[in-house]
Amino acid sequence: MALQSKDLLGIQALSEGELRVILDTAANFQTLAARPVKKVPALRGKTVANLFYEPSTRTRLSFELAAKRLSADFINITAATSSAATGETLTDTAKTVEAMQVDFLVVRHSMAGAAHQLARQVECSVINAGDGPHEHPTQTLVDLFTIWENEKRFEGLKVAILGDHPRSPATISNIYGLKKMGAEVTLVGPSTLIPPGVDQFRVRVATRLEDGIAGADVILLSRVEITDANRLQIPSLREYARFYCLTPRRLALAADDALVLHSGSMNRGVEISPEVADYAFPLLVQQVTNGIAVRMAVLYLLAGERE
Amino acid sequence: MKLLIKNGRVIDPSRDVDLVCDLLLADGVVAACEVNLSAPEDAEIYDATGKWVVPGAVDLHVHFSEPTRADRETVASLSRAAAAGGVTTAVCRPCDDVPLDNIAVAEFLLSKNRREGLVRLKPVAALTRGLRGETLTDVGDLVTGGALAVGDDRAVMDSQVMRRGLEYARAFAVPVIAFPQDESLAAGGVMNEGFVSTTLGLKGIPWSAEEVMVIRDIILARMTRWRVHVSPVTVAGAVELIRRAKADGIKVTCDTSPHYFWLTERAVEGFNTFAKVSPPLRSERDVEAVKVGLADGTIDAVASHHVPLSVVDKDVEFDDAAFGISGIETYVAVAYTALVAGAGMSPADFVRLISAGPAKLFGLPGGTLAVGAPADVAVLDVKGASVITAASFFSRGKNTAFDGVEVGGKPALTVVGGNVVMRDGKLASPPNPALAT
Repeated sequence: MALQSKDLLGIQALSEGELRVILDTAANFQTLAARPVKKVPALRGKTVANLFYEPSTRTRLSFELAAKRLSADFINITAATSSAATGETLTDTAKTVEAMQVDFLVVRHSMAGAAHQLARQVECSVINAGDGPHEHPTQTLVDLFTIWENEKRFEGLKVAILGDHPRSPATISNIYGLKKMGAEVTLVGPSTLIPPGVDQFRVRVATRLEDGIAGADVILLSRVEITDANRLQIPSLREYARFYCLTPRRLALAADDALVLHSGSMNRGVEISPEVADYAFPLLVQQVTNGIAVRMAVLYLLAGERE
Repeated sequence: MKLLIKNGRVIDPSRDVDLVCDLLLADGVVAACEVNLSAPEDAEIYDATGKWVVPGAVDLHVHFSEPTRADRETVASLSRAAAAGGVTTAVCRPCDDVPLDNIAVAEFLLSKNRREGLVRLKPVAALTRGLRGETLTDVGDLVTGGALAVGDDRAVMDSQVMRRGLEYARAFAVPVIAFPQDESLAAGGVMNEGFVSTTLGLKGIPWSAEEVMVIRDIILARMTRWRVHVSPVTVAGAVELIRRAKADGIKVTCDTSPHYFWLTERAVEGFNTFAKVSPPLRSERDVEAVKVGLADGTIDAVASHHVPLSVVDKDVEFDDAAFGISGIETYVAVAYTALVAGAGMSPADFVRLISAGPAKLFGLPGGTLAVGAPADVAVLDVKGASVITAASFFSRGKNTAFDGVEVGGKPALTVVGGNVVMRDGKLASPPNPALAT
């Protein structure tokens, strides 16, 4: 089975079946990681281009390694922050890159929809590696993969998501992914950080962290910091930490051996206490390894025949 | 010249006329409107059988960019687009490109249109210098120079400036146009706030941004006893606030535009920058409330809200794309399709909303087919269907959200001051001598 679309733009468009195929394929590639020779010839002769409008070292490296382990040729393109900054429209950029005969375009951008707009203009496969606060599908796939590895189930799994939701790159993708797989999702945070209309996703909202993580099997965290964009939504990091920092005492409210997954660089003492960070760190490292397998699966499946 | 429009259904709500008859235009005015008029020897005859003959559309909300932005709309291209759209008078609002905050700019528009135009173009002057919301323009000077209303076409956030503006405009008897959006509530927003904006990861503009501004301006209208014209109204709560204010006898009027009663926020899905407009497209509930407001007379007029942009303004990331829809060429047909064909509005009510209603608000010529009135007429083909094609617009702004949509009621003939400026999609060559006076 292959994927329906030539692109991976978000989790929204994927069916549960497609999600399972990606996770199963990732599991197969994961076994490769343990071998002395980690490379397979699946994408020999294909070219993968990273087009990053904003830096993201982890995601960039993960795609680069995934492409190389599939024997694809790989190039990095670092663009300015937006088409307004370069004076080149998204369409022009897309056509130019396409003329280099790349087969995959991995796009990272700070603005929602950039990958979708590019995908409409090119024949090659576009993979959204994060479009601002919209979707970050491969991040979610990695989370799902790690959850599956550890829990072996999604149905009825209680998942709490904490973070600066309106700016977190993967909150929306995580909601789509977890709901499609049958998990129960609770969004935790002060009301100012709960995106408008989220009840229509059929998720629970908890403004008290203690309510949100009670009995949770999985806790998803992302980095919280204060910027111009959210200074009216978070009074101070001190205040945020006082009510929403995941401490050992609060973690004790969750299910026994609850999984704590953090999406990237941790702000110790803000969204996660140093003790819980140490508890979660091995999993964070596992996530990095899983990330390569998941991205290999995505590249491999997108290269396959479409129905 | 004389023109006899024969056998059309003449709908003129200004005189409660709705019957199949003939309309004779002579010497720039309506000469007769009767059944079975015999054609004068020198009259051209237009057969309007099966079509509607109505006062030409009076469009209260259009923009142009000449001479600031050569790649956007010029006075000439605006005038041509208007003629194609059945518009006989268009009211030009200030914008960044053309702030219309001094008499020279207003005079530029009028003289340029006399030389290169086909339809009547009238300026609205800015209320504040440079549209900055800080100090008043020379309102009296601008009114003397032809401005028929004042307003920045963006929110005047400072309530004291708005209050003084209303008081000052009252002295010169022109209404103040208020843009209903609280800019602090709307800050950074690019579409309507709600579930759809959340799923798209785009920053929202809440409905409250409009209602907060509308209620403030209603209060200031009551305080100053002067006319506020809210433009455009897009949310259910604002329609209700204006309905109540009118019932209370406060001098408040308003308009809206077809995209606010045809499209919802869902038009943005897929990151369609052509559906990025300010105020933003709203929810299904708001669309229904706007239609109710149009039907019960709360909303006084339908305007095109014509914001013609170039390709580079839209072919960028959604956040960076400019706000606006190019509408003057399509809004009559789109409004007809949504309101009459789609929502069962009476023909007279529809024609009033595009002609007599707006003409009365700003004391404009047209809006009536009374004998002796200026011969500003549109003939609408209500039987035929046509597909909106952005590429064939006369406007330089191809940024329509209705490309490929099938509509009825397409204008087949536009007459301004007795001169045919558009017939079956073909335009006359400017200038239109009727604009010389």
